[in-house]
Amino acid sequence: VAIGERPRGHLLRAHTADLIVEAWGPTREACLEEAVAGLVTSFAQVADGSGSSYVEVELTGGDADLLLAVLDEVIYRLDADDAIPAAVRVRPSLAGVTVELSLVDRHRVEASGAAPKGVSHSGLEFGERDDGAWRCRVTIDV
Amino acid sequence: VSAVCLIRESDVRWRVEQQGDMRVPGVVFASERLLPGERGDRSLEQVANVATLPGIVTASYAMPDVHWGYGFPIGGVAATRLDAGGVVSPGGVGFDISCGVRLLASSLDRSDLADRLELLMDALAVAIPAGMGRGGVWQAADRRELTRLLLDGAQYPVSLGFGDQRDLDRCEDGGRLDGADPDEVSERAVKRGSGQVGSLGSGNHFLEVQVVDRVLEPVVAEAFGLHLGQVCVMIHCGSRGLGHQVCTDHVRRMGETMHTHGIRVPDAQLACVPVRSAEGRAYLGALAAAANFARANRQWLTEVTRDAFAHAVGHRELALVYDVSHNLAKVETHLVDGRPVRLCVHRKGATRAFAAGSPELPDDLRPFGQPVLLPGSMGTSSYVLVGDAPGDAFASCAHGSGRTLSRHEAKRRGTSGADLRSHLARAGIAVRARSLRDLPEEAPMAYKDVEEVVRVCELAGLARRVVRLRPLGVVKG
Repeated sequence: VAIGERPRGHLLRAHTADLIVEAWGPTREACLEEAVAGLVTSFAQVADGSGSSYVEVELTGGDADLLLAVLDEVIYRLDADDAIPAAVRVRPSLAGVTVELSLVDRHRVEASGAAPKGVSHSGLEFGERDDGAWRCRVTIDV
Repeated sequence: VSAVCLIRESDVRWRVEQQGDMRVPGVVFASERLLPGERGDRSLEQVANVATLPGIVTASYAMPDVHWGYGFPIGGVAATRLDAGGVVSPGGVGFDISCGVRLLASSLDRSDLADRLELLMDALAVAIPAGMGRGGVWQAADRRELTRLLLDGAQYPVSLGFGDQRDLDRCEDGGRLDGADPDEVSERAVKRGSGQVGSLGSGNHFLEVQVVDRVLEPVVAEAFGLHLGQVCVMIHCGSRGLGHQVCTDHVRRMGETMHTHGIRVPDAQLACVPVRSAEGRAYLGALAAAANFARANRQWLTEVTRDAFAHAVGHRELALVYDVSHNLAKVETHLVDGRPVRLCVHRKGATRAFAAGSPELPDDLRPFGQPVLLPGSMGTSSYVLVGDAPGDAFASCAHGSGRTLSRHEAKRRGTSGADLRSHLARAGIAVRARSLRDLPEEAPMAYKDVEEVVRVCELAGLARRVVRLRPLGVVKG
C-alpha cells in the first residue's frame, strides 16, 4: 500500500528553515494523534511503552484550533516539564477533544532533530476529505 | 499574491512589481546567485504578501540571505507608519523574539591559546546548557525575580554582579528594551521560559570560539576592539520558550480580532493589528519583555563563557563587542519621502544596521557606525560589518548566510554526524554537540555562501565588511 493510502499515518516534509508535518486518519481524533506522532518524530527517538507519567488535557474550539492546540501542548510539555509524549490518545468531547499523553523524561530520549518552537498558522490545512478521511498539513518553526 | 514579477534594477537589487493588493513594491537585495531559486522556495511570494500590510511604507524588503519562512520570509524587513494605521505583526518578528548574536573579544591571540583549545571547548561544552527542554544557568527564585528580568533585560544580571557596565553599553538598547509589560506575558510563557534562563536552545543556535583572520577596515576594527589574530566568542540564541509562547499567544489573539479593525491578510501568519490599538500595545509590551529575556539570556551565557575561559586559560577577560537582535519589531524614526516619520520596523531574520552618527549608538561607536554581526554556517567564516550611510531598508542588513536546503534534505544529502565532526576536526574546528544525529542539519552545504552574502550587502550599500572571523570550535545548540 502506498504511504498516502494507508488508513492512518504521518509524514515529515521539507521546508527550507522549518518543518511541515502531514498526517491522516479515519477520524479527526486519529488524525490529531498522527500529527502529534509526526511532530515528536521530528525531534526525538521515543521508544514504545517508555512513558512514565500521564496528563489529560481538555481542548476546545474548531478543527484548526484543536490542531494548533494539541501541537502547542507537545511543545509546552517539552519546555515546561522536560517531557515528551511516548503515546497519545485523543477522544471527542462535548466542546472539542480530550487528549491523553503518556510522557517520557526527555533525558531518557535521544534528540533526532531541532526542538520545535511554535506552530505556524501559515498554510494550515485540516479537515475531512470527500472519501471520509481526515488530513492535516501544518508548518512547525524549529 | 501568487505570480511574482521580478525586475532587475542593478546587479544586486531587484524590484517585485506592485500588483493586486500590494500597497508598495518589493525590493530584493541579491546577486543572481543568491536569488531564491531552489525548487519550492516561495520567499518572493512572501515578500509580495508582506507588501499588503496596512500602513506599510516604501517597500517590502528582502535581505541577501532571504529564504522561505511562513508569513514573512526569513530575511524580511517591513516598516509601517504609526500615524496611518500602521500595523504590528508578530509573524513579522517570528517565534524567537530578539533572537540575536553577541560577539565577545578576548585579550588572547590564537598563539596564546595554543594547545588549550580542546580544554576550553570541553569546559564550554560542560558549562553551556544546550539542546531541547529545560536547563539554564540561572533560576528565578520566584515570579518577582523573573518579572525584574523581563523589565530590565541584561541590566538585571549585571545588577546582580553577572557582568559589567561595558556589557550594557555595547548591547542594543543598553541591554534593556523600554516598554516591557510582564502582565502581557502569559503564565504558559513564563512556565516555558523560567527553567531556560542562560541556555542556547537547539537548531541553528551555537556558541563559537573564533579567530579574526582578516581585517578589511582597520580603523573601524580598532574602534570595535578587534585586531588580526585575536580570539573571539560568538553566541547565537534568543528568548527560548518564553518568547516562542508570546508569539503563539499574540498571533492567535490577533487572528481572532483583526477583522474588528477591518484587516484581512493573504496568509494567516501575517495576522496583525494597528500599533495604536489595545492588542497592538499588548503585543509590543510582551515583545519587549521577551526581548529583555533574550538579552539577559545572552548575558548569563557570557558570564559562563568567562568562567570557562578562567578555567582553561587562566583569566576571564572577554569584552563585549556588540549584541544585536535579528528578530524584532521596534518603533524607530526614518526618512520617508524626505521627512522623518515614526515607523514600526519589523526585522525578521534581518539585523539593524545604523550608520555613523546615529544617536542610538554609544558615544565610542557613533563616529563609526553600528557593528553588524553576521554568522556563517557551522564551519564557515563569520563577519563583522558596520552600518553604511545612507543605508537602505530602514537601516537593515542580512543576519546570516541563509539556508538553501531543508534540514531533512541536508541530512539526506550530507554525511553522518560523526563524519561531519571528523571533517571539521581535520579543518581545525573542534565540535561539541549533545547529539551527533542532528549535526548534519547544520552542515555548511545547507547554506548559501557567506562570502557572496556579505559581498552583496556591501555592494547594495547596507553595510561594509570590517573583519572576518574563522571558527576554531563550536558548541552546537
